[in-house]
Amino acid sequence: MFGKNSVSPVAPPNHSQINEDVRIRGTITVSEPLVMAGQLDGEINADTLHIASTAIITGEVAAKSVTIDGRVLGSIVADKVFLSATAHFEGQLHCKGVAIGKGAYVDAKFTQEPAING
Amino acid sequence: MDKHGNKTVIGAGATFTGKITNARVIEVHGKVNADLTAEKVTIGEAGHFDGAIRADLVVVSGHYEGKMQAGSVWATATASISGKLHYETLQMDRGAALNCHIVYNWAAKNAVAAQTDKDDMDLPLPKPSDKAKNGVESTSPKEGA
Amino acid sequence: MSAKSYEQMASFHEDTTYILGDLIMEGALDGGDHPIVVDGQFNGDITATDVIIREQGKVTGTVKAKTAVINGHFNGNLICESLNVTATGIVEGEVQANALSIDLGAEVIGSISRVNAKSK
Repeated sequence: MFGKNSVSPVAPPNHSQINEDVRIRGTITVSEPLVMAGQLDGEINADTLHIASTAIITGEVAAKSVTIDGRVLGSIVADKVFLSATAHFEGQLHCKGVAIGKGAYVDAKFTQEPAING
Repeated sequence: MDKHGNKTVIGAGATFTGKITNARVIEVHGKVNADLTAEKVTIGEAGHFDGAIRADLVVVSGHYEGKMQAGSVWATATASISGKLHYETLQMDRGAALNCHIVYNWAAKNAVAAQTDKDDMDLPLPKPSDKAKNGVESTSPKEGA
Repeated sequence: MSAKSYEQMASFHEDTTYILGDLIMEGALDGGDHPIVVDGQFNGDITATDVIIREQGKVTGTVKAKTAVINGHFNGNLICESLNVTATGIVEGEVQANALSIDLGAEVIGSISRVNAKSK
């Protein structure tokens, strides 16, 4: 197991980080900001969540603010969602505000509560 | 602000079929098949308008077919108008092709009298000998939009 | 207003179809080879190379375009290759786009999927 740190983001202190070689099946609940670079089959409940480019999430994501550079298959419920150019998202999105960068792969159903620009 | 900020333009190559309401100034360079009420209508040289127009000012440099009720009409040298034309003032440049029934609005500025076809019945219609007369028959009064 | 998209859309050509603010158009509009800019209201079908819905613009119906920039309101079916919804944009309905970007502040309600075959 080399330090395959090529793409792994380094989490600042007091952030949690799950590295890319980690595979989890189950539920992750965390109240600190989380950087998720591994694979998850299940649920994430977080506050500030960064799904790194190596991450693959299959299941449900619930957070206040989610930045997605990786792959999410399933549903996302959040206040703010950012899908970057490397993101791959299939499923359903329910959020208050979303920004999608050019290049993102998106195949999803969107529902939104207009709370941001009110 | 862009140059076209104050008028609607149907560009060359564009085609539109349907209904247009609330136009003020509209320029047609493409093909339009619609009924239109506006203040000023310009049909460009490449423009082709099929339908009824009710406007204050119409400048025709392209094709028009249908029933037009306008205050002021200017048919330029490249104009080709067929159908029925109700006008108050009309200028025709040398070269314009008018194959239509032209009626002067004896009634005042209101095109009210001209709306109904009764006026036309009174006037002796020159026998429509050319195909361009299609416009007259088919334009049912679709105005009042 | 998003002046950026205008510069991209090249100098407003005589051939750009431009639907003014108060105008209400219903029917089928084909822009030919040139862009269509909607500042007024349009109900119906639009087919064009580029469609720009300005902030006050409102389009209801089906839009098929190569690129679409939505600063205003769109409701219906949108099929395009590249889509940009700006912060003032509101998109409701079904969107099929291959390249897409949505700015924060935009409202998107409905579904976004990809255009499978490049058949338009």
